[in-house]
Amino acid sequence: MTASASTSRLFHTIVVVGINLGASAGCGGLASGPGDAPGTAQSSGSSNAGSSGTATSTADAAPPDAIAAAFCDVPWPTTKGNNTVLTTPLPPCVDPGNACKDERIDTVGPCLPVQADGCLVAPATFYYPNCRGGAWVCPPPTAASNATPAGTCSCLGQFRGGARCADDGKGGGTWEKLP
Amino acid sequence: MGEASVSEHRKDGRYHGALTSRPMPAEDARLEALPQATRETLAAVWRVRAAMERRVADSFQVIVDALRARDASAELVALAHRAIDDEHRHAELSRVVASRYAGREVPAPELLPLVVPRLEGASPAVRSTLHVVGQCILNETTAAAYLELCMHHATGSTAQWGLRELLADEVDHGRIGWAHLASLPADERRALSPWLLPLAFLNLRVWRQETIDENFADPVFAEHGAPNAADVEAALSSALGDLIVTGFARLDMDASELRAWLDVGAPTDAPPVGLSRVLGA
Repeated sequence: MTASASTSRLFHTIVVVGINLGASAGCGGLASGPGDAPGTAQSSGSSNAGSSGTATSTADAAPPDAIAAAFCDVPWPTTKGNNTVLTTPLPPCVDPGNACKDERIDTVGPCLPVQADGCLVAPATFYYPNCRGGAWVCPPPTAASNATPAGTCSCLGQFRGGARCADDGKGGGTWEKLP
Repeated sequence: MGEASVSEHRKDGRYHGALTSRPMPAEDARLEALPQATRETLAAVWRVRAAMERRVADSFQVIVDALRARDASAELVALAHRAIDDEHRHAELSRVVASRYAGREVPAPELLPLVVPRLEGASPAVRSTLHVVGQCILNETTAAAYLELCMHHATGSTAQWGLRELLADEVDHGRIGWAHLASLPADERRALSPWLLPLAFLNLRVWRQETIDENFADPVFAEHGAPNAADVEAALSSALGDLIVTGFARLDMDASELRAWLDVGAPTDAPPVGLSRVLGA
């Protein structure tokens, strides 16, 4: 099957059938084209799967600031990937002195990479927060997904499975690959 | 091969408790002929996919709640609820495929955390609908296109089986989003238009990050479900332009910003000009 034929089939199977499912029950009032009737696709689904059409309006004007901020939001994480590495349990040097044993690590996390443009991204792997002064903070260049970026940390860089954070004793450190 | 983990999928799911619609092929000569190092790499890919699929089960719980918040029909909510179970099956299916590549039972991966988009400034109703748009329309429609690409190149019977099973469900998951959007009054749909570019930008960026890997240049990886970077890039762009943007246009939504961004190659190294901000500033 050519790429264009595949795309056309996907468009019909997902988009057109989906739209018709919703339009058949909702208040969208959409016109259907020939051959676009529900039930023509390979996969199962309700033929009456739209909204009940109750009047909770979404026709609110989008605030310009909100749209600008939306570029720096996190995306829904992907369902697929070509990664070969997954995060592993918390590396010990994240809190070598056990000073944060009474603090919930998820109060700042997960820590997500901050790109040069300042946006957070949510990859399959993520940074662990580090314990500093009895509190969890996200290491630059990451920021907490649910808090204002704060603090610095000895261990920089993205943690990957099979690595450990090696403190250099001078307030710095690196993620080192384990043998 | 036995199952090394207790799958979370339910007896009342799509296949009444069965993991898949068809059994995994008993033999896979192409897989057996692979060098062990290649098998280990592919096992790692499928194991990470297992973790990602498991996380999407959590995503669909949010979608169920969002649809209920919008008073979506019971049928549509039921589809989304079934998608939770689908994703649990996908996680186990991917682990089983990883195990066959590894030649041993691979344990279920650790849970990945789900971070839900904040969508600050959106009204609760808009946020709920945008969650459905982001997860079902952008994410799942893209996933279907990505799986189509994987299937196009896959020759190994195990990979073909796994990919086919996954794709059959992703089609339904994408439809949930299009159905919800189509059920809304036209003025509500049009009011969502300003959000489309940022949502698409974020979605394409994370898909590029998660799927484009120059280490998979050797065709042998594509033959087992891990296509090369150039093909993935083409598929992602086509999914956005030919499926998603075209779908928005069909729903009479203004996707002109999206189209203009696509026309210049849909760069994701920075947000489109004039719309970036520095976090915490």
